[in-house]
Amino acid sequence: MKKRTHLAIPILILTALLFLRPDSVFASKKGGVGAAHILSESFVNAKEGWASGLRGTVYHTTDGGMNWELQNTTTDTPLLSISFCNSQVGWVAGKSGAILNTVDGGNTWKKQILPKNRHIFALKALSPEKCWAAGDWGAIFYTKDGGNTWEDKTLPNDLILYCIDFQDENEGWIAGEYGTILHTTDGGINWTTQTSDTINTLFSISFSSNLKGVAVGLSNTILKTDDGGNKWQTVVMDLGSKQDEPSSLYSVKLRDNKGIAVGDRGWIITSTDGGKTWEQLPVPLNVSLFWFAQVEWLDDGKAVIVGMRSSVTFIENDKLKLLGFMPVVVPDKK
Amino acid sequence: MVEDKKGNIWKKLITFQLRHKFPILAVVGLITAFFIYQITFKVSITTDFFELYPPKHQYIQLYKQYRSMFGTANVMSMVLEVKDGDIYDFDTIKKIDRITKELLAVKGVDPLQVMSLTHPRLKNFGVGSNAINVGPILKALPERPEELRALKEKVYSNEGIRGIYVSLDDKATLIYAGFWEEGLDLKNLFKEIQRIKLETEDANHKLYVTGYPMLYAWIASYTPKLYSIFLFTTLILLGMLVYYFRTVIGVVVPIISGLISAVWGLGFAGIMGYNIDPLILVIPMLLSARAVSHSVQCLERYHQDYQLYGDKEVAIIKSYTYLYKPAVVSIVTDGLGVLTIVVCTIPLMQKLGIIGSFWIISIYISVVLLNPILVTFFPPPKIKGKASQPLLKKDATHSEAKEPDTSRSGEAAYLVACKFCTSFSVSWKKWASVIFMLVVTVVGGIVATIHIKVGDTSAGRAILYDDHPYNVAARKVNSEFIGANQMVVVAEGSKKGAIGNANAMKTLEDMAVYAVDNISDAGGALTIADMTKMVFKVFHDGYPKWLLLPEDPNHIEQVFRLVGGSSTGGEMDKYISRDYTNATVIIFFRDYNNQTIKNSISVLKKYIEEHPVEQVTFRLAGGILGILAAVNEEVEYSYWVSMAAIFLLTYILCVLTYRSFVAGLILILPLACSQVLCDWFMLAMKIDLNISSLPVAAVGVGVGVDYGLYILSRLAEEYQWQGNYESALFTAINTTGKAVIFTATSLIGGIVLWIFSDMKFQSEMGMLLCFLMFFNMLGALIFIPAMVAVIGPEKTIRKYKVD
Repeated sequence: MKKRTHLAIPILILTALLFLRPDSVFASKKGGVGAAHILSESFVNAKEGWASGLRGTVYHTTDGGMNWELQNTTTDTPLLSISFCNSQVGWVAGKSGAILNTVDGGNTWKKQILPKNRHIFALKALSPEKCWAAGDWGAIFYTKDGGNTWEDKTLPNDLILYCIDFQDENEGWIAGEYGTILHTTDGGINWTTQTSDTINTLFSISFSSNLKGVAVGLSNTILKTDDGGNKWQTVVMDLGSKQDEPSSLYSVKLRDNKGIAVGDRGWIITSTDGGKTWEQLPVPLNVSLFWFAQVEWLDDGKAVIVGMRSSVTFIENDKLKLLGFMPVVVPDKK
Repeated sequence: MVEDKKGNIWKKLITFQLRHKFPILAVVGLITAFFIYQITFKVSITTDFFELYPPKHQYIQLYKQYRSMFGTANVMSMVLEVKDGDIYDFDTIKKIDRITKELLAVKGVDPLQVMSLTHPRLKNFGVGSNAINVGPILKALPERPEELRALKEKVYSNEGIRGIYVSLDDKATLIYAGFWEEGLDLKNLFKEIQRIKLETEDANHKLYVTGYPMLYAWIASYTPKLYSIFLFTTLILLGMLVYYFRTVIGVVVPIISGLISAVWGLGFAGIMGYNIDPLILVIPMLLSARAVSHSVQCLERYHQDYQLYGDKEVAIIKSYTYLYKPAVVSIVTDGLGVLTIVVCTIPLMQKLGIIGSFWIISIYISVVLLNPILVTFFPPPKIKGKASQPLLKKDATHSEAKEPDTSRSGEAAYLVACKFCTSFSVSWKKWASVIFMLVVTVVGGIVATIHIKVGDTSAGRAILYDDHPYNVAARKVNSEFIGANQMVVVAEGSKKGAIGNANAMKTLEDMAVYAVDNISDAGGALTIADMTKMVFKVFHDGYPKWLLLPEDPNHIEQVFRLVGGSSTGGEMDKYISRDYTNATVIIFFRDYNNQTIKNSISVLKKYIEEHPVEQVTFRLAGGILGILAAVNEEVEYSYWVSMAAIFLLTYILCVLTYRSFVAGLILILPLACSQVLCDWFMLAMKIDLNISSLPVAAVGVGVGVDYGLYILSRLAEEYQWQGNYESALFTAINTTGKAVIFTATSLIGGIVLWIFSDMKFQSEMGMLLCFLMFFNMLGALIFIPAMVAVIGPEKTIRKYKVD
């Protein structure tokens, strides 16, 4: 097995997990306890979006996340990332190089072939033709023909790459293990490594402009840049009594000066100064049971958070509203 | 009277018995003393769990094979509920801790299956880059409010505690304890739980206890109360005998017969090393009551014959010669009938079949062999109700003897009842009776067969009343928690390490998902695949997108090695064997009934058929629901097979006795009709078939055939004697019919007190048997004479050899 992080994790710790009876693993397509986890989402406007998850699930909403309809992907492979460039064209990818493309808003999904069978953790659809994918073993794949062919731009080093963000078709960032941040300004022909201020894994990166960006990751790691990543600074949050029990942040989004990040144990933090300072949004104790996989700003200023057990949570005017578990309308089986 | 060689045999037997009465009494006395010794030292009223499981059923074999791996299915669930506030207070946490520790000390507990919020094996974990905090949820009992707050946060932040150990409203917590079947002392368990309950409960705390060990502990706790039912039943029988005979002989002899049969039956159980299950105690009681009823039939005839002949020895020989044949046929039919229960492969039923059969056969000793001997020691009977008056003069004629005596209180009522019964065998009424019976039997039988169900409710609801603390606790567990009821599928590898294969792991995961999605009451499922994914996720910084199954067999093996190497012995066995050859899919049910279990089995079978995996065989079904599935399948099969066998056997014996196929039918059809009416009664009362109701039905058929045999034999005798059917019918119903009414009412008297049992099951079975006795009595008194009248006595009872 490939060595990942935290080699010092005692075996006991791993085993401790096994003694639990995690109801969260009661995988199911039903809502509520036993529902499958949602791991990724992508919105093209304030109303229309898609979400993907374990067990090959893709859901579609046309009312800003209030109601979701299960789409037929014909796969039960875990789908770890989803990205749409408009209301018709999008990709969803996941375990062992599984990737599907739609050109009709998800009514039909077609399999595509990646050069290598890597787990794909991040997708970024830039246009109906262009899309980036990143995953483990340093995998970076790119298509410029709608996915008919994917170019292999895999890194020579063994890294897990967890996130991608592009400001335009030329400039983008990819981040991942060991605080790795890669940067391109030529549409991915060349990638340079930026110096981050951490060796912690980064799970998410988001830029509000070509200069301003944030990245988040393990143990509440928050990085901020004001110069396109030439210099990354660590933002320290005051965790108060929870200093000894840090959580991880799995997703961050920066829009203008407004930032939001979500993560483990119900963590939701927000920033109103472009990521310089962050505050934890108080959540009810029952929400702290959940981990959140991804957050997205909608055009109307609302944030939609998806995660554990198909939970859907909204943030509106800094107020949290747990919608509950993804309401699903299952269409007739084909 | 027709005399033949066979007839002489019965007479010779009676004569032989009377001639050698002292040696016979000595031998029977010695054997009885030996049986008393057996009862004293070897018979116990207790439940042996393995006797409830059909050992050859594939699910039970699976359970026994892997029991040491995935633990006992006999799990007790205790819910500690707080009235005001939540469980996060000092007192409640202390109570949970104390209960947990005390459960660990209870005899028969599997320490690895005791779990609670305060048990050190319930872990808290966090993932970070610099520090990972892992340890028990509760390291030490909280002493400060902030420690209580920390505990609450740990409960909320760790998956798999809320809903499993703590209710979602924080007002209740669940404590589990598994017990090995063979090590469980039910009386001690009940005592311990009551003590824990007493020590735990106060104005703000209530303790609910449910689960199979507790169910049987409750049943065991009712055993002493059963003795009072025995006592009162005996008193009722005594009272009825006094009322009916009003002679010393009429009271003492039947009671001696009942006691001797009981001693022989129970003593035989001791010799065979069988215990008596409290749930089926109603059966032995019924068997002894039947010894009494046989004795009553004999004494009734003896009284009549003494009235006729005026000579004690002549009366003994005449009456017992006549009764020998129907009594022996009846005993053999009953004995073999009860023996058919052994087709059921549930050991408890097999043992009951063997004991019951011997018990009935012992009636030959206690009644047929001993009664004529005992009668010789008593003075001749006086006229009923008029002890000073001789019965009749020596030269009384047969027609004089058959004249009903209505001078005694109650006789007039008997006469009315007899006239009522005989009225259905004349004119158009005989046709109406027969058609009614046939319609009920055929149409009703079909309806009952379709609708009657096996194990339609949970065992707790079938055995105990709905508002019983056990059922209240079961509802509490099912409404507040998931995971108390489990079904286990075993993935059995054909070689070492077979589970360490991506396909096998995926199938485990897929089966779990499929089960949860397709089984209505499934609340969740857990497999080693889930564990593996969680470990894999921890390997990768705890990132949720790594909740993936590794595909490389080397990766899987490394995860397994970590798991096996670092867990303490046995803790992971319920999910995967230590050599990675076998694994389990554990499905949790919120609630269940037989239909849920059947559907679940069907869903899982379908999945297994459609998803074959190389080197791995999936086997159903372990866990408490697997055991129940096996028991229910066996009961369902056994009920119908046993019923068919009893009816077939009874029919064959009746045909042989009366040398007529038609006579066989005449005896069988009323029995079938009674059975159908009882099935309807079960449907109306919502009583489902279960392991314990099977023998009740089987014994019921035997009782019915007794009545039929006595009535038909008397009809044959009177018809051959008098040559006129209506006259023969009147005599038969007024003599033997009266005894049938008495025996039926005395049997009902022997059972009726069970209706007031603290156990719903015994109460329902009591009611059921009372109805069965009543229907069988009506069948014998109305349908049998009606059918003989319709078909014609010449074709039915002419060939019956009357001695």
